[in-house]
Amino acid sequence: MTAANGSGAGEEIRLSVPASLEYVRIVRLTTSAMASRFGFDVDEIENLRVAVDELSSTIVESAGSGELSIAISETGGDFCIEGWAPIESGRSLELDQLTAQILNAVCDKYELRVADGAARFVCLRRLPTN
Amino acid sequence: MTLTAEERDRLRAMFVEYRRTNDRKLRNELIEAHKPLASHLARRFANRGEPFDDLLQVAYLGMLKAVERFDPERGLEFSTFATATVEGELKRHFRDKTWSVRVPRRPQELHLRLSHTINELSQKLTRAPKVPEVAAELGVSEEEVLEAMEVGGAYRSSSLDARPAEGQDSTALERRLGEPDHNFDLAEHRVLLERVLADLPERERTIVELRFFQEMTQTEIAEKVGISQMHVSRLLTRTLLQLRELLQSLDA
Amino acid sequence: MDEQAVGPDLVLSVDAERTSAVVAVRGELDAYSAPRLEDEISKLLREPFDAVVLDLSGTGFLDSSGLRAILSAHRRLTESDRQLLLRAPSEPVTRLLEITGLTDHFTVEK
Repeated sequence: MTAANGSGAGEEIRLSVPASLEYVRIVRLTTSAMASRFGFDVDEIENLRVAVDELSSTIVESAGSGELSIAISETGGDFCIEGWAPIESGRSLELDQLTAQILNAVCDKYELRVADGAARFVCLRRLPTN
Repeated sequence: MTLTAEERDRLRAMFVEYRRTNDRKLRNELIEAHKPLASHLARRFANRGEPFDDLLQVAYLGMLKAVERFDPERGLEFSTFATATVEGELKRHFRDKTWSVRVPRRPQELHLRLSHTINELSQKLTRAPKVPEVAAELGVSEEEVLEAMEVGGAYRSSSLDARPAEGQDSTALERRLGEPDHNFDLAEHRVLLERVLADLPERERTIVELRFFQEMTQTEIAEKVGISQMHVSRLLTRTLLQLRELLQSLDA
Repeated sequence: MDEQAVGPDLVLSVDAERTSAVVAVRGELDAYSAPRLEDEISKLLREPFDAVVLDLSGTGFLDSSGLRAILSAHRRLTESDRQLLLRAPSEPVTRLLEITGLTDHFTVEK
């Protein structure tokens, strides 16, 4: 994990783990820690944990081997989580209704797509104001 | 337990006879006669979080050892000797349990207090608390709070180590049998046991011998054999189960 | 009670209570660990239990995969004329059930 900046605005951290379900837990933990750092309360941290878990699991499930890369940052007043992993050729992203329902509840905005041979996601949540 | 002079003489004679003949029936009668004492001693250890049934079995095992070892010629009262032996067994039982209880305890406890604390703080603050606030309230680090939120109580102490991690096809009943089984009276089959031990793989045999004949604790065995205490616990349980099956088939 | 460890993150323990099997789900039930619950239910389906009770008091994390495993358990048990009951669902569990509108789909033990 490396920090691109010091603390405060523009801070970003990156994380790479093997693209397998076993490691999604690490992504959850890191996201919780960062969310806490950005001042989210415990309920919002729970939501973000679920968000990053669902999005990461979805892309990992269509990834082959390779790495799952995560970047967490603050962007224009939003807590932003991005993830990507090389997608296995011929595979597409599968998002079922249950997962979509959950994501709608826990993210302010999210996006899942395939581009340049990688499955990607972005999740935004408005930062707390206090 | 208070005995009449007659009863005491009778028991004493039985001890002398037992030492002479090694008659198993006599031995069992002697154990039966002293079960109330064993039970009384087990009760003394009863409020430490261990199920009483387990303690009772450990106490009976201790009583068995006491009966086997007691030398009526040495001038000691059997009840004094038996009390020391049984208490020794009970203390050893707790010592062995303590290792695994101590290590993972904290995340589990923390999770239980976590929900409660978050609820309390939410009411007090009229909003959901932040992690630093929860950490401060619980007197732990923020890291621990985050971990506890994630895990929600996965860490167990007791029987986590008590069975092999493999064996995926066994039914729930079979898995239940894999627990440390205090109903299985190992010493009762001592002669048979020695015969059957010879058939075990070397490491398993060593561990059983160290545990039951040299009475080392699992931690001591772990050090001696060069593996972890958890591993010793797992091997012991699996080996005991195998032994019991072997012995049951021999007995039949 | 007996337990099997799936790694430190999920511990399933099975206990019998009269004619029910109680499965305590302690830890994180996610995409990685959910198959273990499915396996456990498969095993229990072969045994003469009337009902399976999922003790969710210690379930610290639940996602859609975990939820699907619970739904599948519910369906399989119901199809074989048996019951699935939830016991003491934790905060993460109730929240996910609320989000997905599945609160009334399950029977919670009283």
